[in-house]
Amino acid sequence: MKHKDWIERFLAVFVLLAIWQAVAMAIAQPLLLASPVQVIARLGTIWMEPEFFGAVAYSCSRIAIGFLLSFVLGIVLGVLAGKFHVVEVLLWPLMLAVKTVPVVAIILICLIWMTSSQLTAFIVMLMVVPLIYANTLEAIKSTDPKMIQMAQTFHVPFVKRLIYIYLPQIRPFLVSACSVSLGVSWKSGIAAEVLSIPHGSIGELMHDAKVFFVTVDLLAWTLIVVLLSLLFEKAFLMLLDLFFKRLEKL
Amino acid sequence: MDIVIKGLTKSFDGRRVLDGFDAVFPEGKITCLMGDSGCGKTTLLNILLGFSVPDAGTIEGMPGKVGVVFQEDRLCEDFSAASNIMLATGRRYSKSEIYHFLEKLGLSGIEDQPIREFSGGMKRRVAIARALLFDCDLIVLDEAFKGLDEDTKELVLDCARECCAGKTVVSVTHDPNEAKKFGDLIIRMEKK
Repeated sequence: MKHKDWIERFLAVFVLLAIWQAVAMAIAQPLLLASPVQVIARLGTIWMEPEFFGAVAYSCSRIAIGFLLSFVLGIVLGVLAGKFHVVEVLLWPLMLAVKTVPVVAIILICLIWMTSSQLTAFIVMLMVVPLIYANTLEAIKSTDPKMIQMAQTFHVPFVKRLIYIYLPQIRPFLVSACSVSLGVSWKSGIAAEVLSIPHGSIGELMHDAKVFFVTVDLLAWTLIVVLLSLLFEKAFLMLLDLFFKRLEKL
Repeated sequence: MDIVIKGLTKSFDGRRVLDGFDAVFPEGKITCLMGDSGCGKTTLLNILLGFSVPDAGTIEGMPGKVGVVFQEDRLCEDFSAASNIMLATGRRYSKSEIYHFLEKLGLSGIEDQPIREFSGGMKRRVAIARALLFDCDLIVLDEAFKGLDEDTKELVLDCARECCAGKTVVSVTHDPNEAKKFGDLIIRMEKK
């Protein structure tokens, strides 16, 4: 990113924080809206509380498990659907349903079937699979048929076709899908936790903050979730990039 | 075994590209196909390779494994030259053997470079090497040497001729000098 872009983005964030601060000062009721200064001050102390790291570890692990499962499942289903049209047809209503049904409805339905500790990873998986699947399928479909002809002519085995022809084709689609779906993972995962209140999760702490009107805590946790989500996205995309670079060295 | 083509006919949108085409590609010989654009050379190759089905006619003696240089390079851009060739040859040759062969085609010092960093002529030579090193009984070259400068073309033609010894080769070209130098026999196709 250019130096100028960074300055522009920094200024945009600064303007937003200034507006937030002005509105909070105008309302002058921290119970309704805590100011950014109060939230940042709270961030300086919240990590010292005994349940902080436990809650972060709990939510991170569930969301990571859900995301990784959906990442693998989405790619496998996408490749299968790209290769066998019947798989695409059979999966179409399922993917459409997951994409269109509100996440809250899915969470409430799933709560009937599973415990709150199982729910987060499952909801993340359910929300992310269609994104990874759709992008993988799109990539497979847009593979140059001439390259497929080449592979057939030279009797290239399927695993090698996957590594040399399909994976490089999937790469840009997968990077953009992961970028979007990592954000979706955190949004849906935390939503599932707030509704199912698993013990020791970020969602439980956010739920408590809402129930007891501790707005500053609610906003501080929201900011922590945003930061964790960004951190997750950067780390995963870096690993993905590393994976493809290693692949090129084969 | 010779490849015998009898009465091959193919039309596209009512336009007949091949009309009862007969030919024999003798075993172990290099046959050059020449003719104006649109006379059906590539259509014939597509039928030979099984990418297209003829409206009528038969092909006898077609081997199972065919090494091809397509009109386009059809290489995996993110991978090295050796990886691209090993994709076709498997473990038949080691990386060092492949790079040694590529040196004969005038390509050296390219070990760590992905194909996307190659020039057009370099990519062409990798595509040619892939077909020549592939374990097959028939090699099909569709304007394989097009785009190479004269000196490189000489070098590659000599190397290709050496590698193709004893194999059946069908090569499409527009260059009469190339056909004379490379081919054992020349078939001129007429536009229908």
